[in-house]
Amino acid sequence: MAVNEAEALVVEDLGPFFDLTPDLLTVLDADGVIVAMNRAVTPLLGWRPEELVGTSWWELLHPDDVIGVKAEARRVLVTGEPSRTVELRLRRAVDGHRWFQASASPSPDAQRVYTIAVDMDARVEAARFREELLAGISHDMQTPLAAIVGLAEILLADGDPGSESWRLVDTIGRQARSLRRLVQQFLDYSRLEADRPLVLRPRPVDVTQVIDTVVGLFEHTRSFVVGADAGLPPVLVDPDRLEQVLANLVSNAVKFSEAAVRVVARRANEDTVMIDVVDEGPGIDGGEVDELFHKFHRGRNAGSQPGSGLGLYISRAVIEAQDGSLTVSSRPGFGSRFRVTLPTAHA
Amino acid sequence: MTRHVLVVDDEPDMRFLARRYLERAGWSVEEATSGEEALERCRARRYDAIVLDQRMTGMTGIETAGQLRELGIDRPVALFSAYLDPEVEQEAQALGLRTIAKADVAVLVTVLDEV
Repeated sequence: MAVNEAEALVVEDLGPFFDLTPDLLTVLDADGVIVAMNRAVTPLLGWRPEELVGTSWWELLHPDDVIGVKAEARRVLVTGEPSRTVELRLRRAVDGHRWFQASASPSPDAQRVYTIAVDMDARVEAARFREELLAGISHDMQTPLAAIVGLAEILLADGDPGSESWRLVDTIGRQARSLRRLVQQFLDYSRLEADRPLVLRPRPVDVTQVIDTVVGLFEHTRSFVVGADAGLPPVLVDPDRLEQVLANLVSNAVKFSEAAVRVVARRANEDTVMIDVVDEGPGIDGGEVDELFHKFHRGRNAGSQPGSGLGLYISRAVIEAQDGSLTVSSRPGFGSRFRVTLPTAHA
Repeated sequence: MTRHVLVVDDEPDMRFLARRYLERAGWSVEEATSGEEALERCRARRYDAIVLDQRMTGMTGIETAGQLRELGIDRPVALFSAYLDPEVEQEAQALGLRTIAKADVAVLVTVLDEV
């Protein structure tokens, strides 16, 4: 079969796809007159393709988007390169506009422009649905978890710490608490994604108390070296949130290092206290340091360690929302140091 | 003197949990399964404190607290919420309620001791 024949066959084969895709496909001439448009335009904008063929594409665009899109179209025709993706609004048959992400490609003779416009409303809708689902599920998990954690605490308070059953209940309680932290993470995540503020209740807090609580959660797994400057001033933070962040950092340190974990609080300057969580784990490659705080990032050494990849992402958001910072420095082969800084209460 | 608290929650297990915690701390506990029932009980007798769950079938905790205030019942109210939205938090503050994250039953005792 000659090459031309094969090409013709492919083009013929491609025809049906034109009307199959849910995205809006348009063929324009060099002046922007619509030469062809697929059936997707009907569910998306309420027009029939016949109504628009022969009319100007520029009239379909939202007036505010015309200048930007025209500039991009000129660039496409002059360079012969495909366009960047632009966000634009197209007019509905009946009132209003709809948002799309569009891109275009010119024909080799620059007489035609092929455009594809992907519905953004559907994407935004899907993202919102995902967030609501996540928030809903996490929300509904809170009540049963509260019951498990609470009842385990009662059993422990009444039980004999030397007994086998006490040890079992203690494990149930600790596992349920770690599940609760995870649920809290998902709730935080869904709020961050929805651009809604995190719930914070800052007040003056003695960081050494929070450190003691967090170390208490992990003491059965690892030895700790805890230190603090004498006369450390209180910091302004939501104590539950600081506990959440330090628990996240310490649980990471415990996951990746066999050696003792150091937790040290010091005064950085007049207005700032810093808390370091230091491990002797494998450390983090320089290239990975930046990615570490991205959502759903799992460290290269994570292997089969459980984790959602949200912990550090949320921890940083939680600390930054309270005028602090969360940073890391690391030497591969020697370990990592995560540093939280927070403003002192008087600052 | 024994202090009396009314625990309002539509979840039997959560009422049981709150009861166990509060009884250990020396409170005498009564239960209501809805905001509507809570209003009835509060009309009938005086409590030293009231614990409301925010999300219940029927009236929410905030709605119940609002009606309690309208009835002139100014007893301290603690509001349990699975996740404390700033929106819920604001409404709660306006009504003078103490809010408690639902995950933290142990805090309940501390909060009620302060009232």
